Amino acid sequence: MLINIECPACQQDTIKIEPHMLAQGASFSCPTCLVKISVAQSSKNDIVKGVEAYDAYKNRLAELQEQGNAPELM
Amino acid sequence: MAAESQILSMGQQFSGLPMGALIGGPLEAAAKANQQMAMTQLQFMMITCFNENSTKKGSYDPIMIEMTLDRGVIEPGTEENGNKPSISTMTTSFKLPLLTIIPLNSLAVDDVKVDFEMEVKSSFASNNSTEHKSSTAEKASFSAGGNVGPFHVEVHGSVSHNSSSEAKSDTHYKQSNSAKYSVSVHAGQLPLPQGVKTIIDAYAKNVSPVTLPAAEPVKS
Repeated sequence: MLINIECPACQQDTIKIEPHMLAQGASFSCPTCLVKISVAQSSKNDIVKGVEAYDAYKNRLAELQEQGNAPELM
Repeated sequence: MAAESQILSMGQQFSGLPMGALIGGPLEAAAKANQQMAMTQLQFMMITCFNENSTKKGSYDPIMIEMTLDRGVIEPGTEENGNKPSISTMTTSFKLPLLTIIPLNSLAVDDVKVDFEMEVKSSFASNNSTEHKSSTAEKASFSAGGNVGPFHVEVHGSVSHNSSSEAKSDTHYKQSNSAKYSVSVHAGQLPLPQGVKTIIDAYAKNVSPVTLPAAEPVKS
């Protein structure tokens, strides 16, 4: 899942970010001005926790979707 | 016809079924799943992306992520390097709310479909058979004789009658009816609420880079 963020440097384009890769230390570039953005070391734990919570949320939603697709008769 | 009254009408047959529970049950389960999903999304957003303000109860502050931005800067040449311009990397930092980085609306129950089909068959059969037989038989005989002068006369006679009648009737009646009842429920998941979108857009558009203090040149 890619997240689009407006480039803070040129504000002309968007930078596409993949949260899992960002949490692993990857950097992403603006296609127009070529600046690179990445997570500062001080916030690495926060984004790792966020991505883990997102994965748990995704699994929970999949369970709910399954329940919605096969509802039990009452 | 008497037999027709013995077969239940479709309305009567359906009225005996718990249609409310049969149709409402799946719909309620789907709605419950949708509600749970919305609550899960809200909990995820509030727990993961916000911190409760310790001084102001009931107020939540977004968790901010510090990002670094590296860009090349052309520096004019100095006398030391023969006035040759050089490219150096300048690092700036800016903060983004975690809310804007973690996807919120990527997963959703986008389609819930409940198909319910019911077939009711009802039939009635009647057999009626009657048989009637009758027979009669009669028989009679007589004889008479006498002398008339020199003659002798004798008369014999007999009468018989046989009658028989048979009647048979067979009635067969059968009726069946069927009906199909189909219910299809479709619920589409709404996209991310406009309010949440607005908040995320506001955060994303107000990213203001902060330039880090320039590193002091190393003196040798």
